[in-house]
Amino acid sequence: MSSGAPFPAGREYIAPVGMLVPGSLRTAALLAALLLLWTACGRRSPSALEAKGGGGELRVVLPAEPTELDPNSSRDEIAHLLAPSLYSRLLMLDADSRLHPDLAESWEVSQGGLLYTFHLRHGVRWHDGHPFEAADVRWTLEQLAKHPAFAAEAVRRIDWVETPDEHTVIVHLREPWAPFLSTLAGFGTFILPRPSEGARWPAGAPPVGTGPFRFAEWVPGRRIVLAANRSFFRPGPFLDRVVYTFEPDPNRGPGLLTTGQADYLVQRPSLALLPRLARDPRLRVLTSPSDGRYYLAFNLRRRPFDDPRVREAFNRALDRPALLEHALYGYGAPGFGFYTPAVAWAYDPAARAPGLDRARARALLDAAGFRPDAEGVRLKLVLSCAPIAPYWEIAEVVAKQLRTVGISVHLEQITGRQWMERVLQRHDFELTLIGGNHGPDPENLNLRFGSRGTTQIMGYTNAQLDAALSEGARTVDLARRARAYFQAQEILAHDLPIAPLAEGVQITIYRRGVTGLPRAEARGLVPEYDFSLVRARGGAQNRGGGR
Amino acid sequence: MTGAGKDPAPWRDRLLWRNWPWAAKLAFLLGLLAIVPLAIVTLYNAAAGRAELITATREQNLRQARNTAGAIDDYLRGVLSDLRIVAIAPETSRFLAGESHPHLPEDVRLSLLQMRDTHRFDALYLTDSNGRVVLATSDRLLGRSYVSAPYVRNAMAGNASLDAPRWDPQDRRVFLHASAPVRDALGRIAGAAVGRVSLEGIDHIVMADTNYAGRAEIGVLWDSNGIRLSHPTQPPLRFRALEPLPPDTAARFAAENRFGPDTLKRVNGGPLLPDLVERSRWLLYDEGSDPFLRIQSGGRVIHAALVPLKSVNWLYGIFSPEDAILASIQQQTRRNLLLAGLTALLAAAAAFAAARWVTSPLRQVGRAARALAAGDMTRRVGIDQRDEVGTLAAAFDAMAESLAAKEAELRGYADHLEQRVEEQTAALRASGEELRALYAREQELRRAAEEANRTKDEFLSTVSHELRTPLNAILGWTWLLSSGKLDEEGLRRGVATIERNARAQSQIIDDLLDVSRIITGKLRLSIEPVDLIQVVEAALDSISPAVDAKEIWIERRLDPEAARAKGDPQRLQQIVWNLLSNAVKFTPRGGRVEIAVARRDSQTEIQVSDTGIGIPPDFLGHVFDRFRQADSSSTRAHGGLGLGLAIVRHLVELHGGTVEARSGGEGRGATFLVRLPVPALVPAALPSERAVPAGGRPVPAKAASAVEGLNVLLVDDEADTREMLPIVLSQFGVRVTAASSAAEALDALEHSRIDLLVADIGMPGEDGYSLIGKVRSLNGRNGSLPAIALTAYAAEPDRQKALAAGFQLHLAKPVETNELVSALAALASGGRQAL
Repeated sequence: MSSGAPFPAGREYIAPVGMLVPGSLRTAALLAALLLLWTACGRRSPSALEAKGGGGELRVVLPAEPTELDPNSSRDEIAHLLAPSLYSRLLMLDADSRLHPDLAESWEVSQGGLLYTFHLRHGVRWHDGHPFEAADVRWTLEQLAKHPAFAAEAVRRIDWVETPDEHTVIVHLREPWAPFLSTLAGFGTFILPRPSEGARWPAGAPPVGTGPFRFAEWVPGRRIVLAANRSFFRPGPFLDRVVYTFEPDPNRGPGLLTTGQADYLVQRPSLALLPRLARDPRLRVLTSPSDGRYYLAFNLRRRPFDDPRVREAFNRALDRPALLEHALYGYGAPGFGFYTPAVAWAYDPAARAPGLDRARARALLDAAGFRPDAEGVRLKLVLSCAPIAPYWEIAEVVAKQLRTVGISVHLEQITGRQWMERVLQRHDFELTLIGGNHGPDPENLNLRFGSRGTTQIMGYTNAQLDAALSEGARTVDLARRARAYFQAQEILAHDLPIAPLAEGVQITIYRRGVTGLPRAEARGLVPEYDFSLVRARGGAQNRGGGR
Repeated sequence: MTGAGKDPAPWRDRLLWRNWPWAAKLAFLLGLLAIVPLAIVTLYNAAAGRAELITATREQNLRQARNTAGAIDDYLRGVLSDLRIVAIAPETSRFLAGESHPHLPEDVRLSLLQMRDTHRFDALYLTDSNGRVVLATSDRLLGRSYVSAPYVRNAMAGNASLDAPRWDPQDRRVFLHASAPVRDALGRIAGAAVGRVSLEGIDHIVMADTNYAGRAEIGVLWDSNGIRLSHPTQPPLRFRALEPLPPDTAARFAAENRFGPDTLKRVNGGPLLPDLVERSRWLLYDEGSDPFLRIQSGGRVIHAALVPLKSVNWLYGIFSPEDAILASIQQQTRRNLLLAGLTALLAAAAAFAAARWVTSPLRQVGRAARALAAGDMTRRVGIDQRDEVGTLAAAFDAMAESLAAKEAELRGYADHLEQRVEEQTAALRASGEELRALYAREQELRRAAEEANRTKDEFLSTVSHELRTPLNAILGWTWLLSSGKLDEEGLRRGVATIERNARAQSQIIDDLLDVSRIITGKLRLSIEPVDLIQVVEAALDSISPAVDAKEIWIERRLDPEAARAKGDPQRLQQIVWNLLSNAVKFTPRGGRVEIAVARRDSQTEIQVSDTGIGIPPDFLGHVFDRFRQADSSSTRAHGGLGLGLAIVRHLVELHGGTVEARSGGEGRGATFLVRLPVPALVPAALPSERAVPAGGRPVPAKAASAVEGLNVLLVDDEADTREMLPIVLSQFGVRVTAASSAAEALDALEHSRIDLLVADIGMPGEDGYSLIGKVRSLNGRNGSLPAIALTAYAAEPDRQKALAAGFQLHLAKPVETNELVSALAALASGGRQAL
């Protein structure tokens, strides 16, 4: 109440006025003042959502230090964790895969999915004070076309971009492409400021975005600091600062939380720790089903994976429920299918990898000419994997299970960056583990299994699959799309370019006292890693000496 | 301002406040006085009450919604905790962890059944990590795969949670699912325990809020997509979206068959409650945000109080339509306003009656006044009262008395006034007649001016005609002559015709020039002693051809005693000639013209009478007007310009005389009488001989002989003259030397013997004045050479100038042969008279 009224209390402030005026007027003034108070009380303020800042500081632990802050490059995944704080997209997806307006206030799809008209928000400014305009969107899309990355499939289909005025962007597609909007709302499509008046975007310059936080400081090896963007166009940010620190060991993260040195972990500790962490009153652990899943990728370019019998043998040698139990501690589900059940409409439960049958596996290997040696080893292979939870645990279980059919797998520990460089780019591997999100659109299958897919490292090509995937993307009718993707999953179940392992879960661990995270209170309002609605009250006390 | 302002309708006039009867005014004012405060109080109360009532209702609804939300939360939590008990039961864990004790499945199944029956679950079941039902309270559930069901996935992600109600495609019913992970001894998730309940429990709780306070309240439960999860009164409306879903979400729900076979119809068929979903999400984010929502839907205003649930991402709200909230207060307001209206009517009626009673004597005064105004001077009010009205009535009666007296007095004045008016009217009438006369005069003048103008136009056309007619004959005969085919007789006739016509034209031009001089006042007379007989004879001479042609008898009665006069002989001859030619012209063939010169008293009378057509009496006053002819039509029988008589009158008047015309009427001839004053002293002797310029006469024999053998030098730049004159003069034995310029002339003078010089005045280079100057400066005989100026500069000042320059004579072009010969003769004989 006091927040709405101009005075702490009416009486003290009315009395001096009353001494100066005659009685009747005094009564009138009293009445007027009461009326004012009455109306002021009648309207409740709609909470403190309008206020910016004052919500404390959020200390985020990243698994590694980013090499750059380009939000749209595929070179550095860590940069993507900061991107939603610094930058905005045209639209955004919440944790429930719902589309929300972001820089685009509204949009229309016309001409049978060939024309996308985005009406941009008015009054948005870049961190450097320049107004955000349609030309920035066009420039960004042009840049994405020049440097293909995650959004390559979307950008490839853009015929041309029209900006009839400063607040309208019309994108003309070459062909209808259903995942267009969800791709624009995904990673790799953050809108960047076009260079103007000389170089506004020179290499090494502090990044400029329209996100809830602006770049403040980067102390290499130690931290990156973002400060609240007080002119952010959406509600928030309530935090004053976000401080990112780097801790490569995932199992040290929870310790940082409990000792009050951090508030939020991006990296996930071993799932084995979760039940214990969940019981810690200083922490909050959120687990939720995710569209992420894990699979074993074969390099089909090399022997022995050019032989489908070998690939089937691998699939039959794996005990997936056991793998789930031992490597993921039961979280999630055994991975039999070729797409995530999180996108229920596109998930084909009938397209399943062959189940456990080790005898058959051995027979297949025999047939393929891989007979056991004196030690019972038929094949010696290298599985390249980063020592990150839960990948390493999965790799260990996979190696153990494969050994039962005479496949000896050597686990090669490589860093995330090496994986990017060697496996993803040079395809220099025999076996590797891949995870990551498969949603929100089944177009993701195209990235992973299409012959041109950016994460299709297996060297796998199937024209039928490509046709099914492109059919799935061309139409907007979900029933028809589902049929196409079901077909794609059946082709994959037949060709087995991978061995699916497990369906993943999403884990969020943070200090109790932090509120408004995208998967907690702000669910349905902001996209993943967007901290604009986060408040971190109590963080200072903890730091001051909570122990 | 329209026409209504100018001509106000009487009813509208009556509507004007100032025209209202006092009774009505008072009734209105008192009624107003009664209704205004009452209405203000009522409306204020109503307005304040409305706002208060809405606020109070909203707060009450919020409290109620919180209670109900709490009840739903409790219910849901109960369901979830019951399920948790199943999930954490050791036998459940052992069963899903794969322990193979023979009685274990049955033990677990029994505990599931027990839980189902005590806690109103529809079914309970356990799934393995792959979502497959491995144990259930109902056997038909066994073996089903729920791997993609969110509640199973949620449990497998480690959460004990409630899922939104959802259609079960296999059981074809809507269930609310609670699920929890089942962990093994090591804390690893081994599977999921799922319990499902029908929604009746929740529907019952929500139902209780329907119209709970009698204001058409309705309880609504919905999820964060705005999809209604319960409809207490109409279960088919479950899953209706409160706000249209985004197209992609709606399509996804439809593809997942989330809400049963009619999913798309349900999620798209909802009413439009904008902001509800957005507000819901913010409320879920921040319980402190505004829980009230004012919704405008289909022309109705609905007030909603929203409460987020704690155990699940749902919201509960109580919705009240505004009209239902305000129904009670509106009824009260209507009652109060009705009361106020009745009071006002009562007050107005009372005021009306009172005012009628008070104003009745006033009306009596009014009636008396109207009677007075209508002329009834005997009418009186006659109220016997001592109050204000009585005083007014008495004063009115006194006034009426006074008015009656004044009226009588006025009537006397009125009679007097009537007389005055009559006088004035007569005077006005007289001045009117005067004006009419003036007007008539003006009209007459105007007619005269118009007539003059018309006359002038007629004259101009006449001039044109008269100038062309002779030219026609001249040109025709000239052509015949030049053809050389005429015999002697034809030749003679031709030449005579040409001569006559040329002369006629010359006469016309002379007349015109004279009139011009008369008009401009430049006509000058050379006054000298004259013999009127000679003047008349000369005039008769020059008119004789016409006289001969018409066989007219001229009778002369010339008194020599009266012959001596003083005047300009040339002009006097012009007067006589004009009168004579006029007479001849209007006298028919064989008629008689009489000319008489006589003295009467101190005047000399010249009278010309004829036996011609006479002059109409109405034209008699105009015969001397310029440009006037009695017959001005183009077909008139008599040619001429009609200038002659005007010139006559003017010349006579210049001589100090008068002229008048008389006629006995048409066909009775006319008489013109010129009276000239006799000069006091008239010279006794007159020159016996003189060259009198007149047209058409043969050269006198005396003159012809005098010029014979004369050497004449002719100077003229005009070749025709240089050619024509030598031929003409050679017939009289005159030898002519022609020179075309002054220099040539001087040269000829030097080399030839010249007796006489005839020189033009206007010549290119050196003019005649210069030539004569040089000639007069010559030595010897040539210096005193007789010289004649023969020039088209024919005016009197030109003549004076020529004589002053040294010429002895001045002749105007064109010159008659006899005139030229006479002049030559006169100079050759040494006579030097100025003309």
